[in-house]
Amino acid sequence: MAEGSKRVLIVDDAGLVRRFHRDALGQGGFDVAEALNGVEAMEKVLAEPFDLLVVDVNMPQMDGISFLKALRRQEGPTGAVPVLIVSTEAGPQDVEAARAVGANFYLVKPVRPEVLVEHAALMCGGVR
Amino acid sequence: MSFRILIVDDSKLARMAVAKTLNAVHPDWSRVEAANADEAMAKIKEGGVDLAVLDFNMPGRDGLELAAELKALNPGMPLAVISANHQIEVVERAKAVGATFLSKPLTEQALRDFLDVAVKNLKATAA
Amino acid sequence: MNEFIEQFLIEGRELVAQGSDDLLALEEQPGDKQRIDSAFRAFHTLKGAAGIVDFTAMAETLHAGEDVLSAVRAGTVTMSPAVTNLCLACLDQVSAWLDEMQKTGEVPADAQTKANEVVQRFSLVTDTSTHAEAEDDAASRAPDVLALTPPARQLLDAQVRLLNDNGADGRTARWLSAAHVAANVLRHLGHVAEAGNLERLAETALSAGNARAVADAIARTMESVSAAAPQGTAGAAPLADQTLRVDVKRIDVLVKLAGELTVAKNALGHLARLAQDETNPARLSVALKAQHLHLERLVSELQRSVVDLRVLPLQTAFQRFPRLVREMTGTLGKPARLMIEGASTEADKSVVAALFEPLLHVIRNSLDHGLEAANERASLGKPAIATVHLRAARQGEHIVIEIEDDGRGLDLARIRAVAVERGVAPSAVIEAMSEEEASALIFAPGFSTAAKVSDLSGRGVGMDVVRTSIERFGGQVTVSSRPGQGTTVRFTLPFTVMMTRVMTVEAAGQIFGLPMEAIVETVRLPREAIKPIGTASAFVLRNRTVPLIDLGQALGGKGQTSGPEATIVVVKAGGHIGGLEVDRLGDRLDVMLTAPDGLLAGIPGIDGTTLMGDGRVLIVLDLQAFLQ
Repeated sequence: MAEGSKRVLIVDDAGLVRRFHRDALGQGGFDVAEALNGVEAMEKVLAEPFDLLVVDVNMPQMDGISFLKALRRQEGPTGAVPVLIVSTEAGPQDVEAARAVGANFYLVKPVRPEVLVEHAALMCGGVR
Repeated sequence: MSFRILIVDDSKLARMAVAKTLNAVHPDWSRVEAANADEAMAKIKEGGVDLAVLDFNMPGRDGLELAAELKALNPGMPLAVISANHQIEVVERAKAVGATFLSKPLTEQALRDFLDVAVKNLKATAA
Repeated sequence: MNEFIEQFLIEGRELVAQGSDDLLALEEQPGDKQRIDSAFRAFHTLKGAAGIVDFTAMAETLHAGEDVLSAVRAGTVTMSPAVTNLCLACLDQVSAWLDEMQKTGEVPADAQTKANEVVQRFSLVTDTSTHAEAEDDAASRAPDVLALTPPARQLLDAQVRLLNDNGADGRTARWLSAAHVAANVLRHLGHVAEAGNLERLAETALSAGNARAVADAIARTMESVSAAAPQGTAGAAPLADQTLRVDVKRIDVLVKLAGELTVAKNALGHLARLAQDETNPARLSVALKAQHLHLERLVSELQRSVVDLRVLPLQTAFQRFPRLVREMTGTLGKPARLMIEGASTEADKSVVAALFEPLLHVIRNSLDHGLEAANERASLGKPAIATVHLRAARQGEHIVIEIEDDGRGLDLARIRAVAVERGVAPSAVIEAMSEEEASALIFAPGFSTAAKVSDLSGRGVGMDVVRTSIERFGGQVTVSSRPGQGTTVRFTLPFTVMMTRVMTVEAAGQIFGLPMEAIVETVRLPREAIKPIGTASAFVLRNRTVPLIDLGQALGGKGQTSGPEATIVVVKAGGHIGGLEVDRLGDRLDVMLTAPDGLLAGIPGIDGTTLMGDGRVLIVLDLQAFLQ
């Protein structure tokens, strides 16, 4: 874990995807945490500050859209944390649905590591 | 009262520029120069240096790392870190180690301001 | 020139070299973090240097490069060929400015226009996707900005849309996050001030429910930081170094020697006083001899140290080639890479300085004629990317430089045919030549096998110019080749050009020096063996007719047609062979040659002069001039 790095929470139920994103962002210099679904993500977000959330849409218990809706209802910095949706759904209606609940950007899976890192760095204002 | 100042920059041109500005402000001061952090530490260990002006961007250890080392050695030594890039991060880190941030190219006024405060502090600790 | 400008030029050149080097290395290894850091630092330090000498336009130009490299460093921009090209073009411009300042000693007056051009090209490089708004009115843009990458632009667009959405649910958080992300994007690309402005605006406007103001501010910022300009390439101009950087250690040696010489001088003074009183000449003689030996040692050490001062690594001549090869292979459409070995090999400054042109010519030739076209290589089963090696090594008192390609090799049949056609020598002679001799025909004056005049080599000069310039400072050029496997051109150069080995000869009652490297042999011939040919004369040496020049006559003195035998020095220079008739052969000497000056300056046929032990000036002849 790099000291002073920007902290990113990966929210995805697929272990392989989490690992893939974790490796990419970790190698990109980010400090990475993981959550398996929206419920777990909300617990973590309320417990500690993050610089960026990388969120999947289709997840059991609480999906990405519901999670985002709940997140944006939070007051202060917790509610305003930048969110990057990474989903297998590529339809315009999917993108629009995410935007409507306050997703800051939308990438379609699979995402190349360097693309993920580039977007994360831009959205966080850097890696550190 | 005359002091001895250490100028650290990997560019000789930059050191010449600082020396020229210094000469305009305090012609009676003596100065030593170093091209990198290692040389700077060697000069410091020779003794007699009262204050230092450090370039931020140097190969090897940068000016902020050097500033931290110098402060550890001598917490009372006034330090300035100069950089051509006025990055918030550098300014803040300079502040954090207790150094003054100065922009490149160094203006006479900026150096004079730094030196005025430095002299005041040096005299206070000497008294 | 003031001392600041002087130092600026010295450091500037070093930093340009360092930066170019790093950029080219990054092209091979795009992820090399140390190289990125080093390139960044080179641009940064150059920018700082420009600021010190008040060269604002140059500082702006470098700032643009520095911004892009900073983005590369942060991982937001990839080190694409376009980025490399731009950064190199930026250094080219800086280099051109340095050349100009070298001449005038002042900051160029018209630099701002050129600076704006470079900066605008930079703003294009990170934004190569099609954006309609980027097409318009490039010239009116502020020059001092870093362009938005396509992801950055898309991210900013997305935030504008979020801010324009007035849906009540989670609105404040949504807007805040959008403003936050937009500011982060700007900050990450180095637009720190714009990011700060945006955040301050968001703080007040969003709590007042005015997301529109923030959205508009983002759109305005995007507009102000994007620009479009045509992309061009910049060529490299040859540069002339006037100053010499010397390793401090070498200066220290000189300082120490100066000290020892002072001591030796004082000792001589002491001996002089002794001589007044000393009645025993034998004792005085012993003391003087000892002192003489001591001085002799010091002087030879001094001589060596002075030569050392003039020693430079070949890197200075080599460093521009990776760049140039890259450009040339681009022009020719023949992918090739240059492998440099032994760049740290040292040679005399004048050798290093004079090497660039001939090397450039040989490398050009390799790429242009030596290498097959890409499709031909493929059909031959050769690697698609050709390799040209540039090697240097010290071998005793010589520097050997090789340029080896893996191309088609020399076409000897064609070389013979062309040589016959151009009348380089009689066809019977050419047909009888060994492969080695036939290969060497490419160095014959006026010879060129180029089937068509190409962009690169078609400059009206052949390999004979390479040979002439290498021979000018006592070097030799040879070529070897294997059909289908490649060609190697080899320069063998003296390590120092200052020490010239000469043979003294006497003609017309005067002593002259002949450079040893030009002397083939000395012969004595009966006068009948010399045959008049028109107004000139010649003799036959091992079945070869060699023209004879009466040196005394040629130098305006009287000839030496008397005597039953002629003393002849056979010399070879500039591709010509000839005999010089002299009165007498003299010694062989190592001399430190100085360029002819005073009355001798500008007289053709004089290579240089040196002082002899008895104080006379020895004129060393330029044989090339005599034989032409």
